[in-house]
Amino acid sequence: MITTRGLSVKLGTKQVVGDITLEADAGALTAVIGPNGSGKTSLLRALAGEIPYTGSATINNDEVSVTPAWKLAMNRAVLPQFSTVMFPFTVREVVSMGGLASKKDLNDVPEQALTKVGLSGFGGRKYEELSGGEQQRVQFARVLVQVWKPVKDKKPSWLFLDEPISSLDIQHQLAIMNVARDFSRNGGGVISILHDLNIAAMFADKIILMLEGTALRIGKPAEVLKDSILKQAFNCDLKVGKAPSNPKQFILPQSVDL
Amino acid sequence: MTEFSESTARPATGARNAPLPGDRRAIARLTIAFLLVFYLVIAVISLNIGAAQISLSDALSAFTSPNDTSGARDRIILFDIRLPRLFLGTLIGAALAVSGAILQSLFRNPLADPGLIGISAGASFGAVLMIVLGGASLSFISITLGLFALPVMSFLGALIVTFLLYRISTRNGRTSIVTMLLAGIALQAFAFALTGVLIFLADDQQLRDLTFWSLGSLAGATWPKIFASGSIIVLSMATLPFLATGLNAMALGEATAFHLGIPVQKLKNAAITVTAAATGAAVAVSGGIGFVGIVVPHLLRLLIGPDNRYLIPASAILGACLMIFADMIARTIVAPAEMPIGIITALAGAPFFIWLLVRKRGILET
Repeated sequence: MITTRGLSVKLGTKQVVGDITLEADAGALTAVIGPNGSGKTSLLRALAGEIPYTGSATINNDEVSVTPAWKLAMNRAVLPQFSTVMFPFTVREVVSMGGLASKKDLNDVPEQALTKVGLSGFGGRKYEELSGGEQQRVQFARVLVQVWKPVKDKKPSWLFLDEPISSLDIQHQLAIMNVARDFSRNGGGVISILHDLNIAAMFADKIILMLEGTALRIGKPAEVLKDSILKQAFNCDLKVGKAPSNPKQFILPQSVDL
Repeated sequence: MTEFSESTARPATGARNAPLPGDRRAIARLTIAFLLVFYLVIAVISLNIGAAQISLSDALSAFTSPNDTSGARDRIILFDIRLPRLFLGTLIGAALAVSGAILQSLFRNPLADPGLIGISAGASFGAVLMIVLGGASLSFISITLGLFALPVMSFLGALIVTFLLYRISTRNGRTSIVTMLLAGIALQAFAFALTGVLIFLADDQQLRDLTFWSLGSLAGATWPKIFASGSIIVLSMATLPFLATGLNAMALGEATAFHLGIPVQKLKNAAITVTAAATGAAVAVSGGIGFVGIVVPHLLRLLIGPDNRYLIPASAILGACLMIFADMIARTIVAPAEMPIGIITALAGAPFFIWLLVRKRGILET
């Protein structure tokens, strides 16, 4: 389980996350949504141990700020919003770096991870020669390799994803989100920042809606995705509906009020 | 029965040994083995080449029958001139090439070279400080450290520049390539200026020492110097197996390296210290020899890829080979006089650097 108590983050002098208390369960996919600059990425970076915070944040009962890098890496993997790879590494070499923390022989895990993201047979290609969407999927595969088992030693592993599908076409958006959801269905935990509200509605078990550094609403999709709440957060008219054949909600923009 | 169990075990290991596409470890190991052989060949040749004509058989007899008086001259040339040069060339070449490889991973910048971004200049300043003031106001250092005074001061000079360079060019875990190159130019100019002040203060004998040394040469190779600089270089190289995987992860950025479990701050401190120590010790004994650190890792990356677990040892060997080869040219091209080796590496390396710059022009805009 992931918990935060009064979590606050300052970048320079600006408070970007203020006093957030939340819980995220393993076995579920938690989506973090909210407008640009609402503190989503800073929240995730603080949970990842990447930036200092005040208050408390724990992963599987370990306080993040005092846990050494290698131990954090055994419990959670992080897909950043933007990834660059310097030097001409091959796809296989990049994906295999997911196994740095475990120091075990990876065998065919990298290949399996590539298959999961639809890049089977791409191992020999140079990373820098791939398209943006393919690179994003390679990075996703790398993250999967790091926490290959959703549950390890009876403790859940965690995937932190910052806009994992931002460069992907709709087919691969769904495919990657399915992989993430499978990971949670098998006992792991997923926290994913998402911009596409429909994807969030379709895949999330829980939604954290952020606005100006705080959590405006935390709850099940049906509790958070409401016309009035979304209007308050995103400052535009959105209509939440339900298709007859599908229990999930969908969100339709009405007009953009600029 | 034994045979049966072996044959059942084989397919699994055999399948694992067959390189998968994108897995260049087998090629890398093969390349390292080849380079080792190449090194041995070039080392033997270098022992046979020089102003004095000593053939391989003379050399062998000088080694095998030490009491033969006719071989006395050959022995002296071999043991006191050529062999120390071979050792020194090996150490310096390995130190500079490896320093380049580490800096490039640390700064995420294929254009980093200790000689180009001011690190060697910082090391030179430390060394010149010792040469000029070691007998006067800094005599306490030469007394305490003895033989190690020069390489240690060089190391400190290199360390200060590398540290400043990192602080200036890195913000929020991202190193700007352009800022790093420009900061390197500025720091280099500053170190040169400080060195200039010292040269102004130097007496005639010191000046002669300085001029010869600053152009870069292996001619000063003596066993005590090799011991002093060599032990620092060997010691710093011994830490590299622990840094290689971390440096690989740095290619994905500092944040991702941390996510992968690398203690990034410790890694950076270690990498900076090791580079400064290796470069400092090399510069202290051989002066400014540039471009080895950029040419060698780049060529090897084309061949075996950027994995530092293989790139670093391969760079060490190829760096040693190139340095010995350059020294052979330096010793023979204007024989019996000698050309400073730094001129030869620059003549070959500078065009290479420009070619690299043109080819990688895109990265400067990131």
